[in-house]
Amino acid sequence: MLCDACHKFEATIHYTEIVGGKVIKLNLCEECFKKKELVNTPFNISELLAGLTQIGKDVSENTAKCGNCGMTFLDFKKKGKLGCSECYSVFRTQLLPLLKTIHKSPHHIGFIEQSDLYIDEKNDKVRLEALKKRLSETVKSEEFEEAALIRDQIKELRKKIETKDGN
Amino acid sequence: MEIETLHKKIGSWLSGSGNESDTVLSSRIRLARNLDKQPFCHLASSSQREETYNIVIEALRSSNFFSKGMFLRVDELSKINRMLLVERYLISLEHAQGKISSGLAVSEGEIISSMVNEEDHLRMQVLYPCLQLHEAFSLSREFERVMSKKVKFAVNKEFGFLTSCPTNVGTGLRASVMVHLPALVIDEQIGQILQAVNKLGLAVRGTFGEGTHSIGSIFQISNQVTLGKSEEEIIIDVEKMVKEIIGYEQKAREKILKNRRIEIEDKIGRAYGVFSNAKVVSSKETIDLLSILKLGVDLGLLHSKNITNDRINASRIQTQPAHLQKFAGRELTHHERDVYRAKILKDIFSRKRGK
Repeated sequence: MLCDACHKFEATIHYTEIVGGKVIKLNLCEECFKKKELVNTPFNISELLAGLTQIGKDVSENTAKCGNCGMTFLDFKKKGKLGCSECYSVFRTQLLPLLKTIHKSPHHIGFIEQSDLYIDEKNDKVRLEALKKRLSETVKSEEFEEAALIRDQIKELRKKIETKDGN
Repeated sequence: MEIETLHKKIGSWLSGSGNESDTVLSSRIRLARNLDKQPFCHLASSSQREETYNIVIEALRSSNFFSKGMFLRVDELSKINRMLLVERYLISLEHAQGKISSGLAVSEGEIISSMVNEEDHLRMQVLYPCLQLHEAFSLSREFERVMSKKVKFAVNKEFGFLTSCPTNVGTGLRASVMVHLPALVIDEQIGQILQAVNKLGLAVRGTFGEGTHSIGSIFQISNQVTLGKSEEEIIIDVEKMVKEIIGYEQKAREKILKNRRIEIEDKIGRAYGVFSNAKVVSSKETIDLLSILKLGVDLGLLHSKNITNDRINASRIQTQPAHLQKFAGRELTHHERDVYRAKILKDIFSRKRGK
């Protein structure tokens, strides 16, 4: 097995961490392990994020740059922090797998206060419509894993609406 | 309200009565928000940080939540004053580094506060006594609603509120509850319970000291996940877990009361003895003994009118290093602090009621 970080050397260190109930396994070569300083330093979230983020085989993915703040995806992988709000759109594809790992799903279903984006958290029907729209978008762009997740959320929400209406 | 007299009072979220006040100390809601398109704090230049500071402080000022409170430039405070704010749970240790253009707004009574230019442009906090997550959340929503009319927050439909670290994105919500679990610690069940909590996707850590090596049997339970769950779900999950845990704590209390009553009464009496008579008390000993005293009050084993949960809470806050030094009006060495602490504890617990 090759090292998850450099993909060059044999991974000899297998590191397991539980974050938010999800088990994260990192397979690293000794060099990369030392670089991460996982041995003696306290657990560092940025380090872990950097480890979780798939190192793009595609060089263009790493050099992708945010036009608003100038941060590259490689910078994010080093720091574990994004540069500005625009980064989330610029690095969307690279961030999705990471968000999926550290959160329940990569899609926000809470409230949004800003008037032009307002979704009332009590209004499940509005949320359902938003999810349906997202579903068809993800199917179109062939992001099937995403689509499956959204489909599950729709199912849950429908059940919730039905029981509410039933009451 | 001003920083120089802050140490003399304690936040109103520390007054003892309310739901589950025998096991739950406080409920906290924190919302992370950023300004749209403005570089996040770690990337921003000095002038950009100052710009953020001015925009956010102006919005906070006009929000009316802080009309009787205060606004502080954390970067211009003395080290002791910054540590004083940490000890009162108003700023994080990271914020106490006093980086350029870092700020804080605090409402009177310290229920609402907001850090400016910490990891995110705004970290809005609501602190309530006892188990009141829903109440704290309603107030934080009201606060955020007012703020969102004054500044444009970074938000998108897919990922919700955008934060500097992807671990906070979505709701930007951290709901945490501080619980006091002395019987689970005495009965040695705490390890298993903490493990179970972690497996269920919530975070639990000791409030004083690191990891599970907590002192004073005080633990903080909070959510990890902020995306893919609604605010309501997050709060309900944390609350459910808290109720589950305090159920175990109550059972453990019954158990130790039944099997180890003399031992517990002895511990309580000794703790009282130390606070009444000792001349040198370390902070670790204080936190540990306050925990025992609180258990004594909550189990009805301690009948002194001078010992109340309010006084215990006040002692926990006011005997910390920065607080002691504010009371003394000067810097104190380690040993001087331990002597001063013994004096303050004696004062607090011998004061007549109603004072």
